Amino acid sequence: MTLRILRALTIGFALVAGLYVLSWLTRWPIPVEFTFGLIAILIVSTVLGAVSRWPSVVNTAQDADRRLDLEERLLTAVDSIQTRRAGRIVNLQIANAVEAGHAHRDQWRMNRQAIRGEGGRACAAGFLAIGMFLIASLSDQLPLPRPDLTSMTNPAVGPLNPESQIPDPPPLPKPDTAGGNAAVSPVLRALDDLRRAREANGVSPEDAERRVAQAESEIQRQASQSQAQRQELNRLARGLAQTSAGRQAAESIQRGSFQQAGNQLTELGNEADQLSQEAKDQLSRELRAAAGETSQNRLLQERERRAAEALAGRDYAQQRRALRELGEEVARAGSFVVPQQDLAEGMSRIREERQDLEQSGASGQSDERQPLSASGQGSAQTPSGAPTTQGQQTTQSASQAGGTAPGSGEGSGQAANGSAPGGDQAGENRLDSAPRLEVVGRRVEVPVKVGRGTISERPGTEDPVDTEEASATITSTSLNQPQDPGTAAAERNLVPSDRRQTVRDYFGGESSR
Amino acid sequence: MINAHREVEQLQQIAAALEHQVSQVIVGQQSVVRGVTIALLSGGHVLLEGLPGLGKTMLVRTLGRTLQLSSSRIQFTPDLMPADVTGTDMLFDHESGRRIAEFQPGPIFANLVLADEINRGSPKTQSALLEAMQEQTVTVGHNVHRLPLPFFVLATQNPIELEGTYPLPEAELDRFFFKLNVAYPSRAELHEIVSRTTGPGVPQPEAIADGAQILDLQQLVREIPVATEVQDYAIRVVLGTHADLPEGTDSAKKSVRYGASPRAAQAIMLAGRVYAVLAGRLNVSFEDVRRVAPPALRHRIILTYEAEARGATTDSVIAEILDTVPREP
Repeated sequence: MTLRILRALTIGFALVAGLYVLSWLTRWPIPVEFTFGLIAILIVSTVLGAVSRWPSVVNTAQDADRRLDLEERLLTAVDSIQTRRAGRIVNLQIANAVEAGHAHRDQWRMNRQAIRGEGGRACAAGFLAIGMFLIASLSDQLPLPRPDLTSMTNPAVGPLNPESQIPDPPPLPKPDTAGGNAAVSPVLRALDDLRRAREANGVSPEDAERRVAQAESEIQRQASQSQAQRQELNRLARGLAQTSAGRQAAESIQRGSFQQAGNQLTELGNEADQLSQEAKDQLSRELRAAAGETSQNRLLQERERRAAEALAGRDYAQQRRALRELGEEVARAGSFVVPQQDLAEGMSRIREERQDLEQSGASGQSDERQPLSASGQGSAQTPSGAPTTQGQQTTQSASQAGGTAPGSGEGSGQAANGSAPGGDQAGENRLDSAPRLEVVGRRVEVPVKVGRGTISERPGTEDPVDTEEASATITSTSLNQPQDPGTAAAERNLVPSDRRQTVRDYFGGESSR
Repeated sequence: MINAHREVEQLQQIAAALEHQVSQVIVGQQSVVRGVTIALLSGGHVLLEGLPGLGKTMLVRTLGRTLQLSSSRIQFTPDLMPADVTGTDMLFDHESGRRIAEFQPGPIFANLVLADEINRGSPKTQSALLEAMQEQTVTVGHNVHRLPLPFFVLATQNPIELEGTYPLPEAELDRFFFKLNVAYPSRAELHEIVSRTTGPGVPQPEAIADGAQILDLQQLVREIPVATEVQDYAIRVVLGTHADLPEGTDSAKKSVRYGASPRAAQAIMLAGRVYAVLAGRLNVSFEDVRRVAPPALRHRIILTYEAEARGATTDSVIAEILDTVPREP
């Protein structure tokens, strides 16, 4: 029985090892429960088989004779007893059988040796099975080469081991801080230090101006980087939103919950085996399209492409890994996106510092910047890509800081009414501010995309009419929303012109009341 | 149990001594000597087949001297009559002056009978041995004469290819317990034969037992137990020689015209018992059956013409059958 169980274990372990070799080669995942189930079934069936074929006394004696080389002594003795054979020679034979059995006891040790040998084989097979299990399970983390069997059978899938085929693009530089408030907090601290130093008269006006400019430059850099990542992620979100499986992750990206989006993509990969092939194909197409549009974040582009390829194939492990990596990259790229509120707060502090510098009369040299602060009523010059505080209006007409520059509106009320006072004046202001922003010759990304045109009033009415002018206004409120810059539209007065007077009278009456 | 143990030991000692004494005279031929010993202790008759001059007659004479048994020799010739073997009623002048018919025993009335070149006798004369070998009696007229016990016929025959031979009928062959092939001696054995028989002194065997002891030993052998499985194996081997039986093996269906009779199974079991005792055991093993099966079967199997044309021998067919029949059904 023991020998049979050990043999069953050996066979079971060998089978498991073979299965995991197959799994490793084909990347077809084998659940651990299946492994234990297979071994358990083998052992149970062996035990049941042994019990069902439990040997009779005669068979046992025959087996003992064979193992102990007793030449049917025990068999004859047992048979004589069972058949109640009598006689002096019969008794003598039984005694002789017992004596021979005792004399050959040493040969039982050979049987124990056989058990030990079988046990050793079972252990070896067990270690082999465990080793193959580990190799198959951790093959993604191990630098072990393995043949590309799936690509031979399904060339459309592409190489099985993208890591060995596609070199990883260099990662984007890590942000100084983890994003969010932490991203602009060094700037705020620098401004606080500057304020304290000025109050203590420990800084010259020139030095103060230089430090403010540095803070402004840093805010600009963060805004630019954030905008770039935001655009790439929004493209991915648009693709994901086209599929029901990726909709949750898309919404998380659009909400700005990038870590959550990464987790959802990882989860989507884990459940990839439950997706229909049609859903996978659709997701694959969208990811491939997103990869085609992604241009700045090469790592994200590669991950999108790999995920698309994996979803086009049938390798669950590859799909799981590719989507997990895509999720990780989404979370990583999302960490570069700085919330608009933080950028606005940073810019507000810079503006206050400049006003303080001007008021303190320490800006003999700061007159050069006067047009910037005086260019708009109640507005401050913002760097390219940086939002303004709420209630202010920012006009941005192009992404090239050296060519065009954001202008400033007259106020949110005017903007809401459809006026667009930016235009050339804003462009001039931007040109003036370029040297101070130290962005001459640099590519500057803006956080919003201009609308299709300016909004003008229909002649004779106050109804807004889009034009095809290449400029638009957008409120700072919309800048605080993580919406796609390319889809931001100018505000419109949706109240028909013939009803507006009624509305005005109503609210005017309301306010008088 | 102690007596039984002693009797078994005595049997082993007598068998060993018999083989030793015979080996003093007969050079080599250990398997033949062992076969003859087994047949003697089993109460069976032996047919020795071999070329002339191989010591067959010497073997029988040596056995007679060793066992202190009466022995006789019958030289079979084509003109030998059955009465020359069994004896016949002859007229004698009685003291009373009357003539009476009195049975005159033939040479068959001996414990050890050497039927030399038995296949040179006519079938009629050969058949005269049938009753004697099976029943240990001779019937002449209305009188049945019992043969002395132990009665042991040791027949020799030349290979049937030689001229002037009459093949033994199947019924006669079946009455032989064993058929032993006497092989030609090897070079070393021939050296020893020449040295012994041409030297100044010829070794004389010593008597080690008598007829009564042989009969006791024959009875003792029959008490050796045999497991049912072993006996079943022997029976399946015998049935395996029959081409027309379900138990017949493929070899038998291909090569055997007539299979072994039930006497073959009896011979195997008896010989197996003796073989086991001589091997120091009190039980018959599967291997004992395998060892004694060839001499017990080879003269009881008649091969087909196709098998003979193919060059098959009874020994090769028996070996195939033994390899085919499993020990466990």
